[in-house]
Amino acid sequence: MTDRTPGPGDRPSSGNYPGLHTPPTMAASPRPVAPTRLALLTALALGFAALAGIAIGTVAWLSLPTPVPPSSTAGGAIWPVSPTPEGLARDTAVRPAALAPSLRLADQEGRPFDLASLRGRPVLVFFGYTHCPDVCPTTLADVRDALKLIDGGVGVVFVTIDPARDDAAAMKRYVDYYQAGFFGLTGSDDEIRAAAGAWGVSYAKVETGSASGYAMAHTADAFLVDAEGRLRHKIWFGAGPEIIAARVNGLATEVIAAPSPASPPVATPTASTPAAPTPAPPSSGPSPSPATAVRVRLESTVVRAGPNRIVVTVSDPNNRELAKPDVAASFTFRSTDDPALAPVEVPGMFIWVVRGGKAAYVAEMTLPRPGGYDATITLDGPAGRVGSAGFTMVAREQSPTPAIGAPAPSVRTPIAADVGGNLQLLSSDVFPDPRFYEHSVDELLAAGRPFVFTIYSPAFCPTTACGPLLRYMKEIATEFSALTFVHAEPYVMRDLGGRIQPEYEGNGYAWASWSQAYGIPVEPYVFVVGADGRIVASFELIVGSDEIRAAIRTATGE
Amino acid sequence: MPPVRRLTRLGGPVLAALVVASVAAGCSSGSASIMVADPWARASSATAAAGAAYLKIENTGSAADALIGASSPAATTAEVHETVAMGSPAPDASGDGGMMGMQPIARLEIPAGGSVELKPGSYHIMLIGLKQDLKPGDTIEITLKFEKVGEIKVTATVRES
Repeated sequence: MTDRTPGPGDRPSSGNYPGLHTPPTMAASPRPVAPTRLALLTALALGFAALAGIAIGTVAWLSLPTPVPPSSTAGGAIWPVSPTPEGLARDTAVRPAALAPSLRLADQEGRPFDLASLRGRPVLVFFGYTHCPDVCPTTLADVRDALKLIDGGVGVVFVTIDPARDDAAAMKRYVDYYQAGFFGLTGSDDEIRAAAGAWGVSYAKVETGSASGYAMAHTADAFLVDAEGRLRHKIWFGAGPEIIAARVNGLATEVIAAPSPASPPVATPTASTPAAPTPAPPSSGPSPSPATAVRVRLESTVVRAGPNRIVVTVSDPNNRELAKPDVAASFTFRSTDDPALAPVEVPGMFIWVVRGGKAAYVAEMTLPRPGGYDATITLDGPAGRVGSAGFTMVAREQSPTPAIGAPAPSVRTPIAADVGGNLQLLSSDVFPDPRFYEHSVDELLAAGRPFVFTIYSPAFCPTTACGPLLRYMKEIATEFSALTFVHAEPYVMRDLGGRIQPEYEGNGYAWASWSQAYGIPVEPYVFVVGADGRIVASFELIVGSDEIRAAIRTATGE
Repeated sequence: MPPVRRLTRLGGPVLAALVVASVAAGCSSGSASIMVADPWARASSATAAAGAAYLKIENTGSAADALIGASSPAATTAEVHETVAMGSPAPDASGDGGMMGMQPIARLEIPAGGSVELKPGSYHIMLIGLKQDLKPGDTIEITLKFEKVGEIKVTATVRES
């Protein structure tokens, strides 16, 4: 298996750019890209920019009918990501599956409510508050839409974590609006605190200065309790109706997580295992937080057993991001599935996402096994300890993207020659760099040349992690002129008369064949590939220029 | 300066208003050109404490711009907010186990050649003090205020999700 094996992505990609092989409509513009191309490119780009105000308006008119996505059965939003196979496969199981914590409060009619009274059908439980404009309505709407995809009755229980404002009447107005039959629970401060604590739900009052008064930060997962009263799944916020429905529909057939903590995640079927009577708290309950003068946010979406690179951003309690190169970070990772394993301790690396603006910390470590990890970041500045914060993460057995050392998938990526040199048809970059579109990935692999492959859409990148990545990549390409750089848009693009826009698939953008071949779940991604055709490094979302430089030095054997 | 171009149009069963505004920044740093696509508001009862509207903003110009405010005749106040993962235990890959909170955003930068999506679980326009029920199929006006291109008025369709 040392050679690259041709994969499904090996086929020419003509199908990916429907307008690509028709003559460009702007063919009158100068199109051959000469070796001394920078001046020409600049002239082209400036001309384009000068026209932009008008041209964009025209394109906008033309493109109006296309952005309307196909209607989905669940009536999803226009822009959200449709459930990916990966999302559906994401591990949400609670281990071990023990009886759910008790939940005894008052419902929206002021009647006593006991979760145990709903035995005999699955129940979805989640926590929130009625002054919540975004998260809670999203969860309630997702659950309501999920019910349309579920056979049989499901109990739905919404518990307030803001009892000061949410009395029974407020809960009634709120839940009745979504669907009659939903339960809206409230209680005294103490009762709510006890209930949330038992379910591993954290919450905190946040003074935001908003005209709506204070906000509540809260754990937004949905808990799925089976008909026997066992807590079976904890479903992340934003999973969407299809995934919620899939978890409920799967309750009857899936193997219940064995109660032995020593068991591997894929436990052998012990179908007759009765409900474990131990009143164990949820497996990832309220772990006491270390000193939290800082907040940490895990940006990476792919965490795997084995070598890893993860990125976190750090902010102060007012959510101002920390961007101080002189503050050093160190990380500790402890396996929650096997607490006997020695914790992994590594120093963090400071990187600029936007020089002088946005920053992040990178940890490179090897995780000994898949499963849950409790992680801690500790920050020390010139004047002493800045703070520390904890976060949890789950390492998967395998990642969707090729692992470090694995062969890079051989895919055909579009090059300038495919479009008569009209780079605007290949890239949504306002100033596409001709060096990035000279060679296709499959060509470079066949020739045994090391290269850097960037999959990124400067114009259509949908996350907040998007930055001036290509601009930095151009600088790096100039420094390492012997190395080849390839850029490709992540999505199937459509030519709208000289400008390109992503195609839709379901409710999101359609991934191009190369994005699928590399298994990327988000963009941007940067892969550094060595002369042996193997992945030297891969970077997800947030990438520091110096990290790329270091990986390039490894790839080229410097 | 007020927008140079302002376009709206209905498209298909879903109201897909797309509005464009561009303006020269007045210095050598180029111009911002803002497109707003697919504004929608979540169906909500007027008795709800707050509603939310979502849309996508694209800056096809060569200078950054920023969303600095919003207003709507359908609500007493409109604020730009961001839903963020916060606190401890902090989230894993996508908020699992962590707390979700919310913060007002005074200035939401739309980088040159970049786009920002206001969507559930992320940036949104919080409609405070709804003056009417937001019923599916209704439309509401929202005025977005940008630092450079000025005000852009969009028509958002009310949908359940």
